[in-house]
Amino acid sequence: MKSIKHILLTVLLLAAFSSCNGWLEVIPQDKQTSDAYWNSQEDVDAVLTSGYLYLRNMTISYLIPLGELRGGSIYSITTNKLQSFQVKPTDESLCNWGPFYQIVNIANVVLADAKKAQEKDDTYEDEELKAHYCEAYFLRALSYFYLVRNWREVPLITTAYEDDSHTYNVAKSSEAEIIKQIKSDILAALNTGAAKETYNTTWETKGRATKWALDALMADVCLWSEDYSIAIQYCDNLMNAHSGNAPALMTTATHAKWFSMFNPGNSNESIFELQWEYQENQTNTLPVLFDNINTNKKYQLSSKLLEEFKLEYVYTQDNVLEAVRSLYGGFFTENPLTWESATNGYVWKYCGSQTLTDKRTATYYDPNFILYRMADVFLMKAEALVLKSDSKADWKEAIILVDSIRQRSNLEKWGFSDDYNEEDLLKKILYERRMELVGEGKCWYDLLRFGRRSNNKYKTTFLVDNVTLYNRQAGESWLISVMSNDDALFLPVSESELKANSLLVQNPYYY
Amino acid sequence: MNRKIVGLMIFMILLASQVLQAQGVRYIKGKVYEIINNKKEPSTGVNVVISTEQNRLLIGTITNSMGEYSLKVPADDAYKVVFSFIGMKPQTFRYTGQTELNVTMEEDAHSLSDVVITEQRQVKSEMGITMREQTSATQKINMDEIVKNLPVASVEEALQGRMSGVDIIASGDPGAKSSIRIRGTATLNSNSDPLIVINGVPYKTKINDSFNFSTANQEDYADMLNISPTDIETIEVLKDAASTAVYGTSGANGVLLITTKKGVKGNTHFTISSKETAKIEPNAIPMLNGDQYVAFIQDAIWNTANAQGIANSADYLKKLFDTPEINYNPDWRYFDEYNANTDWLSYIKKNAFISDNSFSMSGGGDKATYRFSIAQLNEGGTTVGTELKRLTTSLNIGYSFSDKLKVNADFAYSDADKKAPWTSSVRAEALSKMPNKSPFWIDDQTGLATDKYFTRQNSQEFQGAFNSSSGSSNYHPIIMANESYSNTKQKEENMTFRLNYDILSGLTYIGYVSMKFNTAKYRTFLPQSATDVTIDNTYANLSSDGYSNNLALQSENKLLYRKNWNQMHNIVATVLWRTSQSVSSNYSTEIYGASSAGMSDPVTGGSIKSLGSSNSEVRTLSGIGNFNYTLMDRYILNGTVNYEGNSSLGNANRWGLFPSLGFAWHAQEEDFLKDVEWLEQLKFRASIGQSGQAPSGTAPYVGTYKSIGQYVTGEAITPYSMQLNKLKWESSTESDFGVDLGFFNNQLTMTFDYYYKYTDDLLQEKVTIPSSAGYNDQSNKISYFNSGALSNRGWEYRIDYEIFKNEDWMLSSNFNINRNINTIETLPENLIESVYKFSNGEYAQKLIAGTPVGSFFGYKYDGVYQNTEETYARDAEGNVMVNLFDDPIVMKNGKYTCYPGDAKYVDLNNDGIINEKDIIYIGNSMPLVTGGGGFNVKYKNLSVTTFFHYRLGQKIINKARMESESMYGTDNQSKAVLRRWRNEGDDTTIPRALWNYGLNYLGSDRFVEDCSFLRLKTLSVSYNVPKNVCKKLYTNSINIFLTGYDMFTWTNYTGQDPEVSLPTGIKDLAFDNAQTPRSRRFAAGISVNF
Repeated sequence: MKSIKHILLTVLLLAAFSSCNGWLEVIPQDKQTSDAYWNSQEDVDAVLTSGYLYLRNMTISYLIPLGELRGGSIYSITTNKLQSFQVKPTDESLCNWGPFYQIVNIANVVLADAKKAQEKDDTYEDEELKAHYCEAYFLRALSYFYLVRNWREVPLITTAYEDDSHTYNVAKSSEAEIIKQIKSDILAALNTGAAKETYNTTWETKGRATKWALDALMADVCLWSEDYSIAIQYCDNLMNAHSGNAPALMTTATHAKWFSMFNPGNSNESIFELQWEYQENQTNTLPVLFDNINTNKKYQLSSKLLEEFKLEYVYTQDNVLEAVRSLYGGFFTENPLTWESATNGYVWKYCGSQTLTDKRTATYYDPNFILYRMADVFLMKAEALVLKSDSKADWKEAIILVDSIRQRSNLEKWGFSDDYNEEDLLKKILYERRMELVGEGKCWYDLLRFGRRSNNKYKTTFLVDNVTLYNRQAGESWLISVMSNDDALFLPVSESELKANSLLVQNPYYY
Repeated sequence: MNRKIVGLMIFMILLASQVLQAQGVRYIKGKVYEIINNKKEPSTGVNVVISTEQNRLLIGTITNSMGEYSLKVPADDAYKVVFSFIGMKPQTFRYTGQTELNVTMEEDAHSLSDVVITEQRQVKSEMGITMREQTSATQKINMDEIVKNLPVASVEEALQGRMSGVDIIASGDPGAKSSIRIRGTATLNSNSDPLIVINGVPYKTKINDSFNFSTANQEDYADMLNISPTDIETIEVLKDAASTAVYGTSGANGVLLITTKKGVKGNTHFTISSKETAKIEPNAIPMLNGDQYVAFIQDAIWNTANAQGIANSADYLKKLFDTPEINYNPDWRYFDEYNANTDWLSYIKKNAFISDNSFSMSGGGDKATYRFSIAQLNEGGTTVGTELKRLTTSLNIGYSFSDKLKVNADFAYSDADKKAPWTSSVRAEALSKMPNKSPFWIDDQTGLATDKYFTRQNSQEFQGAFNSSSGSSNYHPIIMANESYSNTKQKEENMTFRLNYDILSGLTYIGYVSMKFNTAKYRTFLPQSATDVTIDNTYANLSSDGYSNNLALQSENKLLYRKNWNQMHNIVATVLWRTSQSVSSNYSTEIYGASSAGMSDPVTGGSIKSLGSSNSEVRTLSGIGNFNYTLMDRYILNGTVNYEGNSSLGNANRWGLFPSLGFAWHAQEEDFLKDVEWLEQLKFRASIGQSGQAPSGTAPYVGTYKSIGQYVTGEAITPYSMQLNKLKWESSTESDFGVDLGFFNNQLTMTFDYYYKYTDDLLQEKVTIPSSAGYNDQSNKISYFNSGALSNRGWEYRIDYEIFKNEDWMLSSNFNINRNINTIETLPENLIESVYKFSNGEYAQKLIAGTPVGSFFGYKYDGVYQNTEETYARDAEGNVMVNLFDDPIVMKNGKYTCYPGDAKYVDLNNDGIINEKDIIYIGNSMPLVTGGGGFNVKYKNLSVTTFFHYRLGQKIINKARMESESMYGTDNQSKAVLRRWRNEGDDTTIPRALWNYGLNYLGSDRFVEDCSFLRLKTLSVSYNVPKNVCKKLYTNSINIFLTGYDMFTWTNYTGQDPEVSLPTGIKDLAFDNAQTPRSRRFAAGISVNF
């Protein structure tokens, strides 16, 4: 009997040994698991950094084509369905909103989990945590701003998809709801008071979200939602800032100074720009895409815009080389002195080196992509001033702002006249934006904003007429007929997304 | 875990060592005699042991040359002294303190038959339940009958068509994986192979999921069941959930129980068997010869040029007149090489041989039994370059310490070496190669082929440069078959140590620890000469080397209780605790640009193309309780509960509870049937049970973060995969109703089963989630997702009839028929159908809830337009449609206007255009019924066995035919295209040739064929040499046999082999891609037992 007890005991013991659930906890050895993440300030930083990295990686295939091609200032040499307004739900590469949501998720994850890291990391100060929140809010707001401008109605997601506890199927929210969320994100960031004015390095100060970037974004969003007073207020935050760290409009009217905004970049005028660094093996194809010779060139100035650039020369005929914006920002021709005969325009901002005739060599294939700079802010304020009221004083101030941009490019001032009406002023502002910000991914959103405001008051003047005037890649009647449908101004939801998210409804134009 | 195994080992060692404890000092001695020629002689080597009442051996010795022995007797207790010797009757004496004991041994003529009698006890299952007490559907077959005279290399092949409900599609290539499905596929993306259990120990063949050889075609590496068919005693199939429950969830797809042969008590037996088989390749589909090919190509290009119109045909005319490969231009340097007449296939197919030899040895005494076997298989493939060599050995030792305690150890080792060309598409390539091209350089002087390969294969060549995508094409098939390789060497060691202890009467403990170690080495090489790519191409001398190993540890502790009260109540109860752990690791390297074929080893240089390695680990625990109650030997109730945990699932859903319940009624025992003499058995069975499937891979639910690079100098880390806390068991519920009938002393038996299996929360692998969740860079995929439901229902019928039997004659037959219907009950969320492409050769796919899987959708083919009149579009009433100017509208295939000679599809919506809207249902790839049957005739020592296998009502897309009749590109075509339409009045269904133009081979019912077949799988004649002859040859038995295998196939299918493997995923369509067809085999063999 002794041995029986022995056996029974052993069996029981063996059972007890094994029964622990812990034995079934097998963790992959070759991966960084979520449970073991969020230990330190650096962990939060690294996740935020991936948000910027994702945004940067979208420049070539999303930010530029989405912002430019439909506007017509710049066109793609190869056929592109965006510029011919023929995007279909099956054109996944053109209407996939996934990359934007990837950044949204990064922001959501940081907002949800940064606190966990703070609990484990004693050196992680409250102030730092809040500063990280600010960056997350900025990234989320910016992503949704892109989404709302391209798709108008999109699912509003503010929960972090780290595990499967949230439903994947989310219905669209209205434009107003998205805008509301964007504003509340920016306000939440600014209200922490921890938004940084500057970082330890220049590239971070210009390449990560600062207080200034939040202000600029807010002004942009308010212009879109027609809250002009608030837009002015946020422009003023930048223009009247007393801080020594505040960006300021570059005013020196020399080409060298003007071009320093793009090469080497990170100028004092810059508010937020996406960074590349050749030294770190981070290059882009912007110089190639906008080049005139390279076989991989992709974008050119539309013929209408080229003519307009040529006209600007007229102002500086005495000294063609000081046609700062035209020559150094706008278009490039092999010999600047024969500009009149130029037939193809190339955006020199990205492919040019410091001097007029030298192009970037491969070691300088790292131009940054600027999302906000002070000239943009000046023009935004001007726009808001014109629309805020009928006050002639405001209108005059607006023209002064526009002229300050022209002056630094050695261009003739517009000057103010009492005969100007709202439309005249807006035309001047829109013209200025097109010329100054060419190739910076703004054109289409400007046309859309100008055209849709005040219940499509200026839809024909600013949107339809401009698109048909500049966009030569599609027939005029086709463009007019497409744009007569407000839904057609926005992209379709991609076919695969519709299948994957059962609550989504297609943009009615694409049924 | 290791603690547990060590614990068990220690425990077993303790038990063993207890035996040896001495307890006093007393002696017994004596002398042992035997009677030789009526004379009492001292007997040497007699086993003398002292054992307890339970026959537990305490101490023992053997007699010396004088027949003397001397033993120390332990103190206390009562003992027995046992004298034994092989061939002698064992003698037992009670120890009562004797100091001397002399014994005379007697010869035992009947010891062998005694053994047989003891072996005929009722066979009980792992759970201690007899066949009679079972409530579930099982079927058992005796392998010896099959293996003895059939040339089978694998277990799968041997079982094909023999078991009802088990659908096996074997492959034609040596060592390639067969697909086994028990009662249909009940899961979408997780493993659907049945569990194989060898001697009670689950044998997991699946290499882990993270197995990621960059070049590997995973199907190829699929694991062979490395066990020689001749070592197998019986195979039993467990089909319904109630019976598989005791094997836990891994048995959810059904269980194949394999019992290997063991040593038996008695004289040592030797068995030698040898089998030689010839494989004869079936006739190939005839292809165009060189001249016919050139004529066809010219015809095709000319037709396209015409169809394009003169203005647009310049390119085509240039192609037609300026392509030296298809023109007569004796000045061209390759003229000779492109004016040959080559039957490419003939160079890469061959007849082959299989030789299978095995040897086994078994025997044993009272205490110990053993069996040793070694088998060697050499199987040649009918495609040049394919081969399988396998060596398997096994050793089984059983030892009884006493009547109560028995231990058993199994060791098995196998070494398999499989060879195949680098790509599996060699046959397809040989068929599509232009026949006017020579495989060898032609000597200009003699006009004869040299032995140097003609390898020209570049973008200027007519058929184009090597293309690595989609199974690869445009290479030299002969070099590919002869010099490229994709070899797998697999070694496997398997050890099981088992212990049986009868604790009390009726209560038994059974435990085992099992270890399986598998290593596989993969080498592939693609010589540059086969592809003629430049040396800097990543496919130039591409070579890879991979290694994987897997260690699987399993243990089980089981308590079994069996009791009977007054022949009224009988219970069998079992509890068991099972653990398993599987650890794998692998690596691979792939290089290209090695300087020569001899330097194909990755370490010899070249540029690295890819490197990979991974580790994985899966653990499971399961506690199972089983209770079986029989009342009055006729009412049986059986219940099982399995509580199982799996490391692939997160904490919240890790454990699953799977109950099952069964009931059986032996109606023939009831009073009202007792007197029916012809009724031997009438058993009704009903069962219902649940089971589950866990996802595979190392903790796929775990969320991960991953570094994705740098933003200037900032390190960027991103959430890479989502934590899947909701991931849970895929659960299935299966009910089974069956009747077992036996008539006339079981001369006629029948079994009928109906089952219904509903699988819910289907595990979907790599599921797409909305990109709004933010995983765009990971293609918006999550590793697994539970969604959707699937059902399998069907019936199985089997009949065995011993038609006649007398002293000399025996005639018996068997037949089985099975039907399975697989239906998608709830379409999984996020299941994205592949988008239909409106182009040649494409079939549409539709997955609709409530319909069976495997349906084809396409166009209705209606022959060829004979004249312009026929090409006019007609409305529903059959009137010609006209345009605004009253001109007739001409039919269009897509954007192509139809001309006489073009393919005519049925314009279902009468809109004058053939497009997506004209697609309809045209068939299903799931067979209506499958099964097999055969006759056995025996006359004295001669027996004839036949076996048929059939699959009926199954459709397949004959892609091989489609490609050889498409007349679209440069591929060679079958002789059928000689019947192509050329002029009005040509009575044919084959459209005109068009070079890269038109839609003449849209996915239509033209290429969907019924591939039902009935095949004479085996016809075997075997002869047992009479006993008296054997005696003279000093042997026990000799068996000689002659078998024909796959000799005849009755089918209307036009492809080479109607037995086409079906795709595994429900989203894939079933295509016949011209795999190696099964060859006819003729085997002759001999088996000698002595």
